[in-house]
Order: sequence, then C-alpha cells, then structure tokens
Amino acid sequence: MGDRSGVRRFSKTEDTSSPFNQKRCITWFREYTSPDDPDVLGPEGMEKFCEDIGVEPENVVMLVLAWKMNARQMGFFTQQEWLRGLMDLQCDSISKVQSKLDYLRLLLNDQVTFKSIYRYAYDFARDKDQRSMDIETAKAMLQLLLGKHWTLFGQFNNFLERSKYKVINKDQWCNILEFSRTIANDLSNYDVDGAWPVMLDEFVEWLKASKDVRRS
Amino acid sequence: MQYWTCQCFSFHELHFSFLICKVYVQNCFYSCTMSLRPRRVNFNEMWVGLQETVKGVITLDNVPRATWNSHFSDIYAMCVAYPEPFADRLYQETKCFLDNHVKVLLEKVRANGEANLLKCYHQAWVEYSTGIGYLHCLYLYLNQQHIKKQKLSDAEVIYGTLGPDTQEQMEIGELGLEIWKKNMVEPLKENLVNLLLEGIHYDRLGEASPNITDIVQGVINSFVSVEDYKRKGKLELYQEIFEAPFLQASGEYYKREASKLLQECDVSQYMERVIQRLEEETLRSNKFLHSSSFDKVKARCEQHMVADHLAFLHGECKAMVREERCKDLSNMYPLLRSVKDGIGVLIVELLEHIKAQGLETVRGLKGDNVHIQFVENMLSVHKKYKELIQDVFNGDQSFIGALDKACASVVNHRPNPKMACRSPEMLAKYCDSLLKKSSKGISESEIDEKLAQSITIFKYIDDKDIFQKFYARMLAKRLIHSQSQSMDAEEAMINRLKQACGYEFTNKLHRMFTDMSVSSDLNNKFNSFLKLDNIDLGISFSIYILQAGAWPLGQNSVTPFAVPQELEKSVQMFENFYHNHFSGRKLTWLHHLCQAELKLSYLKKPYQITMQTFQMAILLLFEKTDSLTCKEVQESLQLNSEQFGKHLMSLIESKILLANTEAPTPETVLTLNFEYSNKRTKFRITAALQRESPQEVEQTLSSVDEDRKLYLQAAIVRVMKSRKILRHNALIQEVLSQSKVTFAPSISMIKKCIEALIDKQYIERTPNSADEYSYVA
Repeated sequence: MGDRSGVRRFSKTEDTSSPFNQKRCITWFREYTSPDDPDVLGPEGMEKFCEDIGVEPENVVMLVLAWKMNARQMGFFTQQEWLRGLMDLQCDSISKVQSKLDYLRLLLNDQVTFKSIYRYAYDFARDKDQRSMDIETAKAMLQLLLGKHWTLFGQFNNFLERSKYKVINKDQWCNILEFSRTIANDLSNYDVDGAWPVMLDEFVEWLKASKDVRRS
Repeated sequence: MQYWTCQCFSFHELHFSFLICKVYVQNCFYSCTMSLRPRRVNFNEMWVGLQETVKGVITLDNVPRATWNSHFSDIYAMCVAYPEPFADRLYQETKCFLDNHVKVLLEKVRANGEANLLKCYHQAWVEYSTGIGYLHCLYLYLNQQHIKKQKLSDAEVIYGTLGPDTQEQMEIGELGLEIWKKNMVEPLKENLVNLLLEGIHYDRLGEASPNITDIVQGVINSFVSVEDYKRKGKLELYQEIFEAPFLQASGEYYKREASKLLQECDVSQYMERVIQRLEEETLRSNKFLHSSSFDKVKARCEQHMVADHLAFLHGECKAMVREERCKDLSNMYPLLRSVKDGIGVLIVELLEHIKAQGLETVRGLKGDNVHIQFVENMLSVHKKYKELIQDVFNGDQSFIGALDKACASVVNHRPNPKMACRSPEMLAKYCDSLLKKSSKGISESEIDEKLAQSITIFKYIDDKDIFQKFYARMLAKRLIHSQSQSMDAEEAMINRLKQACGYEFTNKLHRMFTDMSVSSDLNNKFNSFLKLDNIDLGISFSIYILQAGAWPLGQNSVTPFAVPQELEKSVQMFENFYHNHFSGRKLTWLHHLCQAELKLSYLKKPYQITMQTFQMAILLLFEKTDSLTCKEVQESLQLNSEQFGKHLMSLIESKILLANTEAPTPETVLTLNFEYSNKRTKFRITAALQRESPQEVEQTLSSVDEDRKLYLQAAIVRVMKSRKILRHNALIQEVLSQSKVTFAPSISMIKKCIEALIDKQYIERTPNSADEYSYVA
C-alpha cells in the first residue's frame, strides 16, 4: 500500500465540493484496514491515515477527530465510528478532511466543547482493562490538552513525577481541568479543606513548599 | 344590716395594726346599727365636726373613741344621704383640707433651715404617713363603696392611655400620699437629695454621724412609699429624683477611688481594696436604699473599679497564674467574673499554664516503665490543678473546661508530628501492668483505684480505637497465658471502659472474657467424656476455644506444624468431641500460643519446665536419641525457618540443647546437654517469646489505619444515603461528629475516603456544583 499513497497525496482529481457519499467514505476506510479485520482500523492504518491527511498522530487534532467519531480506543477506529465522525463532518476524502482541520482545531477554543473533549480523552486514552489511567499516559494527555494554556502545567508535571502516584482516576482527571481554570497562579484562592481531591491538595502544598525554598 | 370588712393599709415604715381598726369597726358596728337608713344630712354642719377629727387624726392627736365612732358613721351618712349623696363633696373637702395641711407643713419644715431640713422633713413624714393611714380607715365606707367602684380596672391603667385630665378619685390613703408628693416632695426634692447624697458620702468616708442613718433611710424610703399604691410605675419618683443622681454621684466617687488606689497599690492590694469596697457598698445599700437599686450600685462600682481598668488587671494575670499565687487568683476571680469579657483572659492563661506544666512532666521520659511514669505524672498534674480550681475558682465550669482542654492537648501531643501519638499504647501498657500478676505487692484496692483513675486519662485520648487495639491484644495475652491477677479486676475495667465509651467499644473484650469461662466449662465436659469412656490420653490436657472474630490474634500468624506423636491422640480426641458437640464450626489450632510442661528426667535432678509447644516438640524428638541435625529437626516438625530458628535459639541459649556451631545451619548437630543444671527445679522459659516486638506494634498501628478508613467510608455512605445530596463542608462536619467518639480523623483522611467512594461509585460529584456530592443509589 505504501507506493500508492504517494500518488494519492498529490492527486488533484478529487473535488472538495462534491456532496458526501457514504459509499465512497466506506471504500476510503477500507484502504486502511486489512482483509483479516476489515471493520477495524488499527495502528498501521492509523499511521497511514495520519500521513495521508498530513497530521502527526500525536497532534491534538487527532484527538478532536476521535471525539467526533466517539472512538472508544485510542489508535483504533471501527467502521461505525469512522462513518459517524466523517458523516458529521461531511468528509469522504483526504482533501475534504484537510479542509476541516482548522475547524476541528477551533473547537478547542470553546470552553464547553473543550471540557467535553477533555473528559472524553480520559476514557479514550486509558487501558480498558483498568479503571484508572496510568500516570505516563496521563502526563502525555495532559501535556497535549493543557500544556499550552495552563501556566502551572510544568510544575504539575514535576509534581507528578516526584509523587508516588501510579495512576490517575477520573475524578482527579476532571478536577485537574477545573483547577487549571479556576485557581490563580499564586494559589491564593485555593481552599485546602474544600472538595478538591487530595492529590491537588498535595500539589498545592508541594508548590508552596518549593516556592519557599526558592525564596530562601 | 350591713357588715363591713376592714381593709388595712400598711406602709413601709408604719405599724398600723389591724387590731386597732378592727376594734373601731366593731364599735362602729354596734353604734351604727341604729342609723343605717339613708336620711337627710346637713353637710356643712357635719363637716365642721368631722374636719376637727380629721385634723386630730392626721396630727396623731388623741382622738377619743366615741368621737371616732361618731364621725365614722357621719361619713356613712354623708355617703348615703337622701335625696343626694354628699360623697363627692366630702371627697373634695377632704382633699382641700389635706392640701392645705401639707402646704402648712412645708413651711414648718423649711423654717428650721438647711441643716435641719432632713430631720424636719423626716419627722413630718413619719407623723403624716401614720396619720394618713388612720384616716384611710376612718374613711373606710367612702373608700369601699364609693371610690373603689369608680376605679378603672388594672388592665385599663397598665395598657390604656390615661390622659392628664383623668381626675380619678383616689382612696383617701392614696390621696394623702399623692398630696404629700405634690406639695412637699416636689418643692423640696433638690435640697433633700443633695443632703441625702452628702450624708451617704460622709458615710462612705466613715464620718457619718450616728443618728443620721435612720433619717437618711427614712427620707429615701418616703420617696418609695409615696408611690407604693400605684399600679404601674411604682418607683418612678424614687428613680427620677433620687436613684439617678445617686448612681451618678457613686460612679464619680468610684472613679476617683480607683484612680487613687491605682497610684498607691500594686495589683494584689488593689484587688483586696476593691473587694473590700464592694462589700462595704453592699452593706451600705442594704442600709439606705430600696432593694431595686442594689444591683445597679454594684454594677457601677464594678464598672469603674474593675471594667475601666481591665487592662491593668489582665496584665498581671499571666504572672499570677504562672507563679500560682492562689490568694491573688482567688481575689481576681470574682472581680473579673463580674464584668463583661473579664474572665476570658484568666481562663486562657490557666489553660496555657497547665498545658506547659503537663508537657514538662511527660517530656523526655526514659526507661522501662515509661508508661507508668507517663500516666502517673499526668494524673498528678490533673489532680493538682483540679484541686486548685476547686479552691481558688470555686470549681467554676469554665475553668474545668480549660483543664480538660489542656490535659487533652498534652495527652495527645505528638513529639514527632509524623509519628502517631504513643499515649494510647502507653495507657494500655499501664493497665496491663496493673492487671498482670506481679510480685510488686500493691494491694487490691490500690490497683482498683489506679485503674479507675486511668479512665480519667482515657477520656482525654483522641485515638481511642488505637487504645482499644492495644488493650485487646494485651488482654488476649493475659488470658491465654493465665497472667491475670484477678478476673474481677479485669471485668471491672472492661465495665469502666464500657461506661466511658459505649457497648460497641467493649463488645469484643466481653466476648473474649466469656470465651474463657465457656472454655473452662468445655474442659470439664471433655474430661468427663474421657472418664466416661475410660480413655487415657497419657497427658493432661486443657484447651481454650476462642471466637475468631473477637480475638486479635490474626489468622495469618498460624504456621505449619506437625503435631508430635505424643499429642496426636489428644488433638484427635478433642476434635471429635468438639465436632460432636458443635457441628459446622471450624477449629484452627494455635500451637504457637500454647505452652506445655515438660519433665526432664535424664539429668542429675528431675526438672519441670514450662515451655512453648514448639520448644517442647523439638525436645520430644530427643526422646529416643541424643543428637539430631537441625535439618532433621526442622523437617520432622515442618516448622518454617522463622519459628524454628526462634525457638531453637531459645533452647540453645538456655543451655538445654548444645549446638556444635556458632550459628545454626541445617547441618549443625544438636545434642542434649547432659550437664545441664539450674538452681530451680521448676521454672519457665517462655518469657522472651512473649514480649511484644516492635513489628507487632507497627502492625497494630497500620491495622488501625485500615480500620479507620473502613469506618470513615461506612460513615460517609451512611450519611450520604440519608441526605441524598450534601455539600462538602456539611459532609465533613457530619463525619467528624460521628467519629469523634473513637478517634479524631484528619480532614485529609476523610477526603481520601470520599475519593475512594467516588472511585467505587458509591457517591458522585453533582454535575453543576464544585463542592457537592450525591448518593448513587
């Protein structure tokens, strides 16, 4: 399949203004699946797909796309999910998807949508055998979602590294977003006896202690 | 025929005897029975004579009985006169007469000059008030039948609005007083009050002249008496013309006193003088004033002598408490208590002081009997300050509260914040030492008393659940190894704990106890069973059956063990016996806790040694041979290395067995020591194995943590189930109040439990609120 992709990418024969065609969409899907498992797009297919649309697999846009599809497992799309997402976007070809990439990025700017995507990311990225997400995956996902906009992210990352936490549960995950949105950088409005998860209490304590160290 | 009842009018200082009136009435009765019919009356004529008598009565002149009687009936006649009654006219004439009379009196009183004013006024008052009382009786008929009927009801007076023109007629007694007030008191009030204040002032300075007291008191009283008949506002006059200026003057006086004393005295002397002054003022008030003023005067004095100088007094509190200056403190207490916000500082100082003293006594304790020192030192601190509070502060509850807080703070103090408090463990050890058999020679009643006192400390402990765990373990040891001094004492202690903490707390302890008595019962049954079937076990054998849930022995500590041949029959027999009695119960043998008595007959002297079962098992292998390798022994017994090593070492250390290497290896050869000798022929070698190891302590403490988490989670679920939705702070408060009986959870621990429950999906955060939870059904 590798050779054909080069030809495909530079082909200008597709028309981005043609109406959405389900059959074409499914046929396109089949290019990424193997005969043994025609209904599921796996890691190999994913790699190719990303190459085709010109997006790195770790790019946050991929997460938004997966969210549109309501994909269950990171690295995989079922045919149902593929169809659901792309039908919503009205895309059945590479160029059409490429034209929607900016739109997908912009979705992240809306608070409500972002929250939904953020929460979705937890179930999406975690190992389905476990109830909680392992710490490494969590750090990567947090970097992806909050790295750019949350000032304290770097500190939080350090904190996680030094802590003995091996997993992050959903409650902690959701509260991290709330924390990033409501707590001031100097932590002045943080109530340690409030309903925040203990992990965040510990983060605040750690941060305050390290500030004192730096000051002295 | 009419029948009068005499109503008597008595004033404060007057002694109007009912008897006199009664006599007059009776006479009246007799003399008037003739002339009860209304008839024509010549008022003017009658009035002339009556007026004379009125004058005589009011001036306490001698009025003959007959005259009195005749005018008494004249009044009656006037009131029922035909065709028109003269009641109103009589009233008016009398009023007029009294009015003039008092005006004349006023001139007389004034005539003798300022210096004698009080005396003259007083004299005039005494005469007048007595007289008016008699007059009131003379006018009985008018009062009862005429005036009373016109009176407004009480309710109308109190709640209604009386206009200034309400010219209600008053009974003669009241009328007289009203006239006195208007014509005598009003004009003289300023002068009188000035003189009164002067008189009291001199009394304060201790320069009062002896007879002035009665006069001053009498005059002040007149202000009260003169309005006594009023249905509302009885003390208005008194308060307005006398009390107010008096309080003012007193206030000024106290202010000056206070300033003077402050310059001359230190705190101790100041307090003594103030207390003295307060006592004097109380006596003075009693002497002169109306009772309604007592508290007001006291409050003024306290205000100016204590409240105004609170900072001065508070400043000394700290030093006073530290140095435990009891005399000063017992003065300070009533003074501070009498003013607002006065006593708080003293209470706080005491709390801090007790805390410091307490911490001092329990800091840096060393040695084997740290636990005894800890408890006894705490108790002596507690006792000392309880007595002090009793003596100096009259057992005041707020101070007892401070004592409790201070003691709780000392008892729960953690020298190292990261480590748990050692007090629960120490208290448990203390109780253990008292309940264990010992040769210390303390009497039973002394032990009982000490145990009772230990409850005082117990109540202060926050981590009561930790205490319970340690106590349970030590109790288990005592019961199993028969180390209890007295079962009664054990039971009494458990009951004390139950009283302090409730049934839940001591439930397991009680069960452990009953197991002991059930076991002894069972042993008897077993022995009878053996006798019955003529079974001989070859050894004597007794058993404790323990309920697994109640004893803190831990199933995990059961190690594999091959029961020695000598014991097999007994074990088997008992198991059969037990299962016949109780089907469906599982028996787990705890050999590691058992002991045996072994007789050694291969030595010069026979020895009877009490030892642990594993030790005995090792020695029994040498029944038929003198030496064995470690490997052989361990394999025969199937003990794990830890148990084997421990018990073997103890036999080697006690020299009963010899080993041919320093440290035992599987190849080490063990031989019986045929040269073994001991001064005593009957002894035990179990002691070392029974002592509590640090790991056991650790284990206890960490198991407590686990229990607490479960407890908190159960509490949270309970609360959430009943409330359905609850805010974070409210949930925390609920959980804290529920758990404080057994321990004091940290908020962080409660939060962790909440999170665990969110994770397990028992509760969830409500979607739109940051700090609210809801129960997941």
